[in-house]
Amino acid sequence: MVRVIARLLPGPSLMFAAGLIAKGYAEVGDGFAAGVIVALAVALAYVALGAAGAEAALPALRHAPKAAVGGLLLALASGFFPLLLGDPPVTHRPGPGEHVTTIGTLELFTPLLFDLGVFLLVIGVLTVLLHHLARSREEAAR
Amino acid sequence: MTAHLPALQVLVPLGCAPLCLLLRRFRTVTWLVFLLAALSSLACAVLLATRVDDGPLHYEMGGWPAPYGIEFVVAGFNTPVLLVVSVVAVVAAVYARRSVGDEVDDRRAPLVYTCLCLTLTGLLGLTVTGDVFNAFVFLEISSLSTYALIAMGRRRRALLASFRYLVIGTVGATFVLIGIGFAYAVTGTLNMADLADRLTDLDGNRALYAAVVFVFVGLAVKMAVFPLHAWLPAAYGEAPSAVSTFLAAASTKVAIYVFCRFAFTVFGAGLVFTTMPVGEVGLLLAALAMLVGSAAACFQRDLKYLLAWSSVAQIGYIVAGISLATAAGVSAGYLHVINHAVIKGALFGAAGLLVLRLGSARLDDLAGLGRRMPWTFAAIVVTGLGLVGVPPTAGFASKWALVSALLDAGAWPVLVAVLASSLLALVYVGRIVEAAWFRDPPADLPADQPRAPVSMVAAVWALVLLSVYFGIDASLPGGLADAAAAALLGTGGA
Repeated sequence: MVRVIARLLPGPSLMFAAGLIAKGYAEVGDGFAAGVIVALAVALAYVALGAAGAEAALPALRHAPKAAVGGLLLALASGFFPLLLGDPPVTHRPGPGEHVTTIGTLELFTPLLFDLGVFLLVIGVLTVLLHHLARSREEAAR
Repeated sequence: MTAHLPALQVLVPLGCAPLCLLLRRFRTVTWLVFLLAALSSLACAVLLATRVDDGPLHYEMGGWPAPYGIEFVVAGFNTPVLLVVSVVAVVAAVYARRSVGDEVDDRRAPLVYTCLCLTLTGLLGLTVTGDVFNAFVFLEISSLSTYALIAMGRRRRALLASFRYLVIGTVGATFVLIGIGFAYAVTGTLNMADLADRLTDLDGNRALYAAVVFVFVGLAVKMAVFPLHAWLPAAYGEAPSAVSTFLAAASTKVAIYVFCRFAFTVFGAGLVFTTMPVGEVGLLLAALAMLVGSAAACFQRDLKYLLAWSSVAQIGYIVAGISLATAAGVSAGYLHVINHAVIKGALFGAAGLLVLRLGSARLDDLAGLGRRMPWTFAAIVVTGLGLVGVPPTAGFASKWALVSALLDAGAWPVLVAVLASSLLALVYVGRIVEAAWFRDPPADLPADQPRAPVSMVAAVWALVLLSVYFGIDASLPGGLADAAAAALLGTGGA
């Protein structure tokens, strides 16, 4: 039962995380919380299936280090780019009061990139940690 | 760009940290990145220091206005701290290349530079921030990276030292967080200036008293004030030498600055020193720290541990000055922050040179080395005299300022403790001199040992010469310290 849920849970958790990021600017939620929620689903997979099993069921987990580095660079880039334009760091574009393109309630502006970066970073780092913890347990058991 | 100096001061080292991690295959490049981070923070600090004469600089992160957004404040009270931290960081960076290469294995060296970048970020951020919760975040950034740095020491005991500091330090940080939580609960704001404004209407509020106690007890752990100093000797003794040089000179000093910032510009001197007995408690603990720290230093067998215990006593001098809450006292405290950072940085650097040559810094192993390593031991003696407070060293200048401030305030018992501690300092510095010059070298000492690397010796001597200069001409540190005391005591809020 737990194994079945562990295999299925990452899908809905990603949906929920996407919702948290989308509504994060008007209500509760942000990239960090979204990342933690997905990482919890990943953690369940590691607990139920073990490192090898989890990574066989969810091959995307093998790319966790890339996600962490990419997320970090994305967050830093979206934080620092205003300096090149002469604005203070972490200023957002379009600025306050300006028109923002939206898809439904999702607002497309630079803080979204920052949150996506944080989201990837949190998932990436926690998955790498889980990978090493699970591996060392399995090696000790052997 | 220059308008963003307060942000760049913190963000450049922060951006360099992941860069070090990404470039970890190229060990020399990671070192260069850290050196660059240190140099850029020094440049920012110098530029900022020249600008605060016209009044404090307020910088709003991301353009959000102050009580809602996070505000960085640069004023007379934190420029000396910014300068001390960045100068020490540059010296530690020059020193680290050979020292880290020798003491830490190649695979981990890039991690040392990553953590050093993060520690630098945390310390600088803690100094410039004008927001109490942001201060907690930077406190944690600097603390967590410090735990990792200490754990990378060359002996297994470093792990124990790091774990002990981790436990004690986390308890301290939690105390600070709880205190900040109380302050937020009674005022509904996290901006320091805004907090100071709203607290004036809250006379006799119990939650506010609890906030003051929690914040100060938590900071006392980070400052290593006497009964909460237990983590310090092992942490500085076991950390890699470049790391102990940086931490001993910079990290407790920043905690002391944060204490001043909270005491004078957030809670207010009236509440902290008149309504509550923080000043009396501070003086008592400072006197005990001087006696216990200096006495314990006399019985150490390892030079790094000896220096660390002496730090406990020296922190006592600084706390004594600040606890007086007079302009002269606070100025003396700041002066000693500057002078002690320079002196202790040089001493830990010299101890690192001994570790490089001998593999340890035990006093027994130093027998008869005075003639073989004249430059290293000359550095130890010159700065050691500064610890004792012999004129015309930098230590004398700040101790003189402290003694006259204590005399003005009539704090006789503390004065006795200062004198006793100075005599004890003479004893522990004397032990080093005795071992190095008056004992016979062991017969089996190999004659052709490698010479100390020029970069490390140069870094140590830069600090030694700085300490001598501050002893002869105290106008630069004295001016900074007086400006800091005036900024803290003058307006109340910033």
